[in-house]
Amino acid sequence: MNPLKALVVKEFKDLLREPQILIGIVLAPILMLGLMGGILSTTFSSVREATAGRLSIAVLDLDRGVYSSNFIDTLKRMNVSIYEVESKSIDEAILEASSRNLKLLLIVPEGFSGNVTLGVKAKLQVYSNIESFSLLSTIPSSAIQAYIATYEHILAYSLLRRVAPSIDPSFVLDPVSLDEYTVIQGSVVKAPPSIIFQRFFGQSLMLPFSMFIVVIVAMQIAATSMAKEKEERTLEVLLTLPVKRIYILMGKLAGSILIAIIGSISYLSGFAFYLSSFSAIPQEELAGLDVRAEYVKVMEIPLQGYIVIGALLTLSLIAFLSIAVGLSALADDVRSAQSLLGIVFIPLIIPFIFTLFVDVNTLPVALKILVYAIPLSYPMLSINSILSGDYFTPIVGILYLTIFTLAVLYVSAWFFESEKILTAKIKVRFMKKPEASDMYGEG
Amino acid sequence: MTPIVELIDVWKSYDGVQALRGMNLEVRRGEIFGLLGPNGAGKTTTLKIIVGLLRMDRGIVKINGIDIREEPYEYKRLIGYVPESVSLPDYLTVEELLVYSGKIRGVPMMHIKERMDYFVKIFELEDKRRTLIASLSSGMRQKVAIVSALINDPDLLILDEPFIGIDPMGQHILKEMFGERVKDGKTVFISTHMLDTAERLCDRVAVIHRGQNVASGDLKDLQRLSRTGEDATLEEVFLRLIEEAKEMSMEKPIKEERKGFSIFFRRDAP
Repeated sequence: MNPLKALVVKEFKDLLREPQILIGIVLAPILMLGLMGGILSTTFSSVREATAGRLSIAVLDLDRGVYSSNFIDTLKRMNVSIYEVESKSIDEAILEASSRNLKLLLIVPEGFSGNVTLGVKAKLQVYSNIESFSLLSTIPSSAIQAYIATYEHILAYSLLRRVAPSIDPSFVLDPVSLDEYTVIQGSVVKAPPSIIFQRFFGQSLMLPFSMFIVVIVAMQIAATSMAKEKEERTLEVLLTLPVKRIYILMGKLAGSILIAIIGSISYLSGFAFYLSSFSAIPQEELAGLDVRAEYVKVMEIPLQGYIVIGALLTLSLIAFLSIAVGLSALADDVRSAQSLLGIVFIPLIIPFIFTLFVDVNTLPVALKILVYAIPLSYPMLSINSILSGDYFTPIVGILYLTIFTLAVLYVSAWFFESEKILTAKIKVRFMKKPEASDMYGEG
Repeated sequence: MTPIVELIDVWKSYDGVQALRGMNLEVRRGEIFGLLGPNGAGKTTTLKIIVGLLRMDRGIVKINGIDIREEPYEYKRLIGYVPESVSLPDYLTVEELLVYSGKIRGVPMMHIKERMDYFVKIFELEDKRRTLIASLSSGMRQKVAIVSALINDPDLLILDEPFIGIDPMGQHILKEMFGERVKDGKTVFISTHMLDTAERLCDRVAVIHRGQNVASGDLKDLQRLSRTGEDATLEEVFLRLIEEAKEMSMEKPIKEERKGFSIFFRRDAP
């Protein structure tokens, strides 16, 4: 077997079985996000069931006129279960409705029919009995509002027909309609920009977010693994083996990347399940639009785009993991290694934030140079570039990252070849002079 | 015959401390060789230079006649090394570790299995084959580390304080195994503080002090060199040699040593 393969297999098994990694990086994200998603999903299911079920309300008709009777009959025809309370006062009616476990009391005040007849705005009153502050407790109130709005529409239609028989009531009620279009890269999509942005944001957020997670997780794993080898002195035996030290470095990088991919799949699966639990009606459906088909044409990342992003991400991973392994090899222990890693996380976060919220082209020149100088900017910024059909930035990114990665690998390999990998002992808070017994044993 | 290990005028310093001052050493094939010396004498530094963990400042180290600076990796195939404080990957099973150790040294799987079966039986680790190393006792780990170093059947087995942490039964098995290897023409090179064990076990020893080889040879040679008499134990010989070395080093200024007068005190038996 190739020694590199043996090293990667060993590294992968040793890392994956470590409880801290198995629980913290592989199991916890999918379990926690899955659990949260499950709870939300159950809640939303209950809400949906409650919404779909027949609405039961108590009604106190103090008007007893033509329009109040018409209103109550219309509700009944709309399949609302009506319990007409016998109490004469509102307080008693509330108690009566509560005793029958009815969450809503609808009161038609005296004069309701008279006002409608005279053309004066009529009023209704709704009392919601809330026993707990949960999403479910708001549903009856929302539902009755929808029924009342429907009745209002029917009533307005009927009144208009009576007052002006020659005019189409639907025109008076909705005289202007709006068809909204968005032009993206010259292609026209029948949807308002707000809905397009929601879809685009979902895509442009998820990809950098997943990249960010993969890189951060992989760096932490690689740094911990390296620092642990040094702290526990397993590195000493590893370095006495008849394999080139660059293979040991590559084995560590590959093992960490594999674990990071598993961790990221776990995280993103949990995250996707969590997001899917918000399976409310999509915004475009509410707007009466079918955006998807046209959206796909202009907003989907093409295959070559994914290949370019994949190449950029792979190069970034190798470069940043080499830095993580090199830094952690300098550290005295695992804790110091993780603290040292914090220094590297800062430039990682900068492009991530800019990608999400700011258009880099609008930044001052100095800041723009800073962003473009950070290697991980390229995979993140490339998503927007590729979506807008610009492949120049990603190609420049690939070249820049290749040079950067080779340089980092060269420095890491040089460091691995030197005995500094064993003797360097950086503690984060202070520099400790190496002790003879630490480095060279007691003999 | 070419010695299996040869150190010629090896110097090593770190952080202003001179760990080795012209170390000269010769380990022959087919012997159990002991490296003896007080704390800080340079035993572990010597071993770490031989196994390629540390780089010497100057001098020559040859393993089986190969200059390790010219062939920094290949010569390691001849070596099995067990450090003083054994540390192994926690989350591999004993079997997985041994297979990995063999594969990384380029040993064919068939030989790995044969040797694993043999050594696991000898070291009474049969029921631990599928146990994670994390759940083994320190003595068991020491045994696993030794088996791991033996999986490529090395010509030269180097052990730093091999008996520390191992129970008497384990020590007995280890000594028997050393004897068997020597019979097969292999070499065992140990560094130890346990002078009585070294006296019974080693064919030859080297006594080192302040990074120099004070004297080397078998017990009779050392008795003669130290003028302690034929009945003197290795412990008595050792103490006399170290005492003399201390007196001599006080007479010799450090500056002179650093200039390269490295064998001023070396007394080798023929």
